[in-house]
Amino acid sequence: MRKSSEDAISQVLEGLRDVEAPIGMERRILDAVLDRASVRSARLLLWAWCGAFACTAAVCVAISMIHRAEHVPIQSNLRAVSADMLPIASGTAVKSERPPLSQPIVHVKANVKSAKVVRGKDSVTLREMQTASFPAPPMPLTEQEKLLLRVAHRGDPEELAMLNHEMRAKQAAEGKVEFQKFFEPSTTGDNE
Amino acid sequence: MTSIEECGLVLSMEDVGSEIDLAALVETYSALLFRVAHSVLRSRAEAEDVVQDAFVRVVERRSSLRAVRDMRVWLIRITWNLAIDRRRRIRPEQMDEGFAESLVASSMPADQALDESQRMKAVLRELERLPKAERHVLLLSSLEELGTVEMAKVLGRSESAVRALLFRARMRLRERLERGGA
Repeated sequence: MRKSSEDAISQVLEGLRDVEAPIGMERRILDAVLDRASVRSARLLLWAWCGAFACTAAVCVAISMIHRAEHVPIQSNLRAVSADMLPIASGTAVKSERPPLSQPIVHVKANVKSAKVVRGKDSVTLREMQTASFPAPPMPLTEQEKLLLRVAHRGDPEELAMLNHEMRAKQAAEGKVEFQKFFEPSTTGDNE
Repeated sequence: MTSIEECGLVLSMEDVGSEIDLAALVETYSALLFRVAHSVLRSRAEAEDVVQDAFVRVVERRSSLRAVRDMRVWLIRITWNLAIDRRRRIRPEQMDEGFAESLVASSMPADQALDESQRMKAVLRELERLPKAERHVLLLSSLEELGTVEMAKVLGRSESAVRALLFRARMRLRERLERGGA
């Protein structure tokens, strides 16, 4: 039994020792290593390209944002400047109604610090322009409007008729005729 | 198809500083590394994959190759570790079955071949049940090319520990097989 188990162990260990590598393994290993190396280098290259593209895109976005940030105040300033030019040409009366926005424009041209102030003010204006607008609250009614409402709601036909201009004119004319009849018939009667 | 010389040339051009001649390395060590991997995995296809992975590691770490004192031991250790990692992912029983059948001589009568195959499977099964350190020493000892010194370097143990482990492994395996009736 002991010999048998010892033999079995030796047989297994010999089998492990004597195993031969498959034919063409060296070639396959070299090919595989080369493939993996090329894939790895291609992947590295791809990553490098992706990185470069991402950097370029980021730089472009940053430049465009800076450009936009610089151009928005300049455009609004130009608008303000053109608004400035009009009153000067037309006269001094209009000049007094000019919005105060034109004053910082001078500072924009003067130095960078004041340009920042203008940009800040412009941004506030821009923000105000972009905020959602709400309808104005209803104005209080005038006395006439209140009277009109009262008449309309009461529904008195005589008063409503008085609202009609023609009716009112006709009634005024009748009143005038009656007035004249009252004061003038005596003269004709006396004559007859 | 790329020739072995071309591969060697490409890799040595790629990394002139470390001057790896991969073709020479593959030619010299692939058979040994295959046996190392096969002793753990008992599958030819898996063992070949492991050897490939080992050489890929060589290429990946070519910048640090100068620091390697003993290339042979270094390669065996890489292959050994890769094979043990792979062994955890595959089902060893299937591999052992095929290997046990391959150990039986084809000239044997069918019933005798079946008995012999069962006996080989029992040995492999008991071998897998050995304590890890003993099993590793026993498997490495099956490769005649490796001496005690190299085995000690691969396993990171002293030579005396390797000798003691090897003795205990054989004793334990024999005892278990006798008890099991192998």
